[in-house]
Amino acid sequence: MSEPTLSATEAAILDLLIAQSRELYGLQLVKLSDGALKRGTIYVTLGRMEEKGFVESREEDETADHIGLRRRLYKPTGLGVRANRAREIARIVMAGLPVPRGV
Amino acid sequence: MTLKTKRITWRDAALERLVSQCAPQEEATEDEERELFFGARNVLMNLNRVEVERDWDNIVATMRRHPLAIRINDRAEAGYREAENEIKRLTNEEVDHTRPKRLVERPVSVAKPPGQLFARLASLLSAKNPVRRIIEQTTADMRTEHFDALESSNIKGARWIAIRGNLATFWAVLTYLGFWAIVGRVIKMWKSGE
Repeated sequence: MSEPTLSATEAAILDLLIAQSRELYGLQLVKLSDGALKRGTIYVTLGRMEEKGFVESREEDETADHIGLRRRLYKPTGLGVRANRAREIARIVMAGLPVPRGV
Repeated sequence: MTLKTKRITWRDAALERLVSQCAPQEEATEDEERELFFGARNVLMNLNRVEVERDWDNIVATMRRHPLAIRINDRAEAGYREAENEIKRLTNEEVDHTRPKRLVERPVSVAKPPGQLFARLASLLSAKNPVRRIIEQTTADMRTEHFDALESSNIKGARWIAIRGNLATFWAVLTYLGFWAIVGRVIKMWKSGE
């Protein structure tokens, strides 16, 4: 089995999900990313990340103010958080900087 | 022999109510009433009960912009003015001749939620199909933004959101299907052959 990889876009999504520490819709991720994520690719990337086990999702609850199709809420999994942390450590090491405690 | 009776659903009731509220039915011919009924059905088709109850005023306002509803209302208005003149002639009393306020200012087509074509195509796929999920998610986002724009009366913005959302959905499907990777490979092959 091939090892799961973490692309820059996937890392950006994980960064946002971890920083916000709440479940987010795809559209919220696009808006929070300041143009780094695109509407046309966000769900393809999220679907791929879900297959890899980096994020998990659920359908939003049915509420009175919801319109039409139900959206999905995404949150990082433990594996996703660890993968993102590993990527951050790798980035620091590659830059030749000391790895701070707690990372 | 058992008698089969048609069960009246909330949607049937909403249809009746919508048609009766968008134009005076006594002014409409049978054909017009039937056409209004189809228009109302199109408006309600993609909405669930919660949405219909919540957005009832907007739905009625949308339906009143139907060209046929406008025609019937104009006819009713003309009848009202005629009756008014008749009263004046008979009673010789002062009648307010300010033009009764029209229900709508100008005719526009009955609005449908954007992304219907994609949503219909997606519904043909199985619920677990990733393409269906992608289409539904991008369409849901587009509709959320679209209705937010409409709520703030930003019509141009809502139109732009619908166009951008449809393009995003199309792009997302092509991306998922690996279309751009194939295009890239073809270009690479073409360049290496030069």
